[in-house]
Amino acid sequence: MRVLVVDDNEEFCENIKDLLEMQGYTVVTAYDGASALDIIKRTLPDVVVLDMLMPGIDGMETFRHIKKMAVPLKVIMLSGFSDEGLKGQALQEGALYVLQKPPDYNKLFELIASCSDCASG
Amino acid sequence: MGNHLSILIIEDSENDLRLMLRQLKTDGYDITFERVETAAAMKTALDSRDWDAVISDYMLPQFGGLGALKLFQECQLDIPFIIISGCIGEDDAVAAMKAGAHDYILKDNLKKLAPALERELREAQNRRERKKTEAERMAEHEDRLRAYQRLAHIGKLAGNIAHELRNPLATISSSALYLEKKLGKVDEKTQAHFQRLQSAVDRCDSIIQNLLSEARTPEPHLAREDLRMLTSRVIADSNVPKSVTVIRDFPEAEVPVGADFELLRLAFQNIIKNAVEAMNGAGALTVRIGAGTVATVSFSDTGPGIAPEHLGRVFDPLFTTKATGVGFGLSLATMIIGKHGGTIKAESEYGRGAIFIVQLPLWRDSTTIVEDEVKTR
Repeated sequence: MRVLVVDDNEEFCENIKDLLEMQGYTVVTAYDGASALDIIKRTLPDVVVLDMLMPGIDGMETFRHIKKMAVPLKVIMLSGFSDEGLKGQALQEGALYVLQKPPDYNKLFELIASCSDCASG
Repeated sequence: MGNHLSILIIEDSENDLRLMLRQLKTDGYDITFERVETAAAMKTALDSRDWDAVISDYMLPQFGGLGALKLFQECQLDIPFIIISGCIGEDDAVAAMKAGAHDYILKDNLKKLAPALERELREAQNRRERKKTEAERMAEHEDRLRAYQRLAHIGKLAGNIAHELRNPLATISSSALYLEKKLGKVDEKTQAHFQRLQSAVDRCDSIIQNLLSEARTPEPHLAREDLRMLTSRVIADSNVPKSVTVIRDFPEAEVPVGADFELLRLAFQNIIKNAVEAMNGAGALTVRIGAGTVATVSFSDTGPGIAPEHLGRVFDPLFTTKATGVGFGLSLATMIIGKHGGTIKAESEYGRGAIFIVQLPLWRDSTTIVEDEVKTR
């Protein structure tokens, strides 16, 4: 299963990649929305872990672009803000889950694993 | 007793003065007075101390009652000014009252003076109290807005700090987790270090959480308001300079919205202030209200417009292109409008003015809005 991690905090992005690779996932990283969309077009990951607030095309906008592509992938969003409104918006628009940073890693891994069930099933 | 009055009397006749004072004494007043005959003396007397009232003869050799009245008005004192005259014609009396005298009394009817004084003193007292109440109300209103503005500012800063801190915290916690997993089974001491890292991250996170909840801006108290009325009042209160023409394009029917009047006023005032400043104080501001599935109010100015590279940033806190601005007005407006369940956007063709469009949910009934509010939490 392929996971794309998108976050402008590059260190965090690489850390999540390392943690997921340790669990056997194939992981790609992107540090901004535009390159994330580019990667999705080329490699079609099963799950995208997407930071909400990024310079340029931000998380919500990236998410909306992904939805327009009509590809069967799940999006888990991460947020550094405690903006409940934005969180509700993301869920309403179809994000699988919104985790606040620093995230509960067990929850994150659980969510990704649940996607893997979907992907294989 | 309570009937002591200090009165400035503009009168050239000693005799008339005596008659006047005698009458007032008969009517129970204990009078302290100063008699003047010239404009200069009157001015000096008005400036030198506080008076309860001014009584002026209508006909004076040096200057007339109307001249005295004009001088009195220049001093901006809110005390009774009563004209007395030996033989005032009806036209003169009307002219005096029109000019702002509180009453006029004929010298052969001096017993009317005390009741007139009493009534006018009471009126002046009422005016002062009303003015004071109004001033207090305004001060309270200003205080609330200032407090809100400060809270909103702190809230924004806290939000930014939270975001900036949570990112490195996420790096620390994910690195710690990686190391923990990579090392596998470790001795107790190493395990304790991992736990300390995790609990330090948790502690920081709870501090951020507390900071955010402390700095949370209060929710608006929504009540049904007619957007047209509200907008009109904001325009009236906004001190738009005369060199800016305000064009209103309002529908005939009521446009009901759920609004916290004072907060929405603060938001609109900031939008108007911004437009007026953009036009350098001269031009036309068109305020247009419409109602469809939502209520819309737009503010278009004839200023230089917004450069394309700035258009996306005008609502960001601390963004400004002005030499003296701190860039908080529009971001505050955005926040307030957001809390009303509305949106704001800016459109501009550079060089051809800018338009700020605010959309607010229409008021249906009190419960509907409250429920919508809760749902978005």
